[in-house]
Amino acid sequence: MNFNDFYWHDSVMKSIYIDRTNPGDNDIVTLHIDWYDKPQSSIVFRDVFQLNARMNFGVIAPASIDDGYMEADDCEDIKTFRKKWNGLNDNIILHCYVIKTSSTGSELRIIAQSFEEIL
Amino acid sequence: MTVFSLYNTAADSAPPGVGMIALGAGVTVASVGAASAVSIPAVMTGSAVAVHGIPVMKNSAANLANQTGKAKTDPGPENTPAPAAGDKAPANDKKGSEPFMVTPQGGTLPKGTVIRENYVQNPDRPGSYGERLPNGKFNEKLRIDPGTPSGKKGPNDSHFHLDKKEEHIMDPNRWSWWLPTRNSK
Repeated sequence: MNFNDFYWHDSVMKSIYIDRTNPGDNDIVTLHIDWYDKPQSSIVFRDVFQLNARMNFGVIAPASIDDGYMEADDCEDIKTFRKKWNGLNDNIILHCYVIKTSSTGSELRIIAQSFEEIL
Repeated sequence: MTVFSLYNTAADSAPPGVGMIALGAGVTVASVGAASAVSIPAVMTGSAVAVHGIPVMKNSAANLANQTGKAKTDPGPENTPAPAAGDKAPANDKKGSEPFMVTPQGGTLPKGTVIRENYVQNPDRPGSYGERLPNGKFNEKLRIDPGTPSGKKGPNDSHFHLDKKEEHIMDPNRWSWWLPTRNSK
């Protein structure tokens, strides 16, 4: 399923899990989502290269998602990332996934090679 | 009383007791008291308008029939406080033909809507209102959302949420707070 095709709006992000059991070889970020239009599942980002999380707390409300989408492959995040790595990973495919929440105005930006939904 | 304002409000400059919805850049209006005192120069009239990149502005009457996706519950605003004294819901149902107000994020509401007086704006999200708690936290009671962009799953029309519930409310008759002089002849 295309990342942009999920029913992101008002689905609720219940947790974020960062797997550091095998860093470098297996960098995984997992979001557990209670979907607006279907039962809960996990979105697992594999071969993650960067996670930028600007999250606001102290707001008593579900972590409702405002929008989720995949940036264009030539977006600034990826350009900046590739520049920082100075050509070391120019030959690999990277995607930038973005999740924005409603009530907390939070934003996650994940640069990873792929994602998968785990039911 | 908070009068729904457009695009940008200098909330800091508002007179005491006047809250504003919008923070951003642009036109703002806030007023208290008689409807005749309310000046709203940027009222939207139903044609498509992009605010912050999000196309919004549908006729609210049409909104009632255009919701996509499912609402798991429809409990109604049983936990939402009754309108404050002076706030009054209109007796008629002309709202669908009236212009809208627009939040900085593109959420829309009919003209004449106000925010409950004791609600404050969420510091992290314009268009979200609630109560500031003694422990410094913010308890959301109301959130106004723009419609989801065309082609994205979700309610493609502006809507609001009450009491943290997931229901996308598009019926302006379910909005509790209005200018006091509205239909109060």
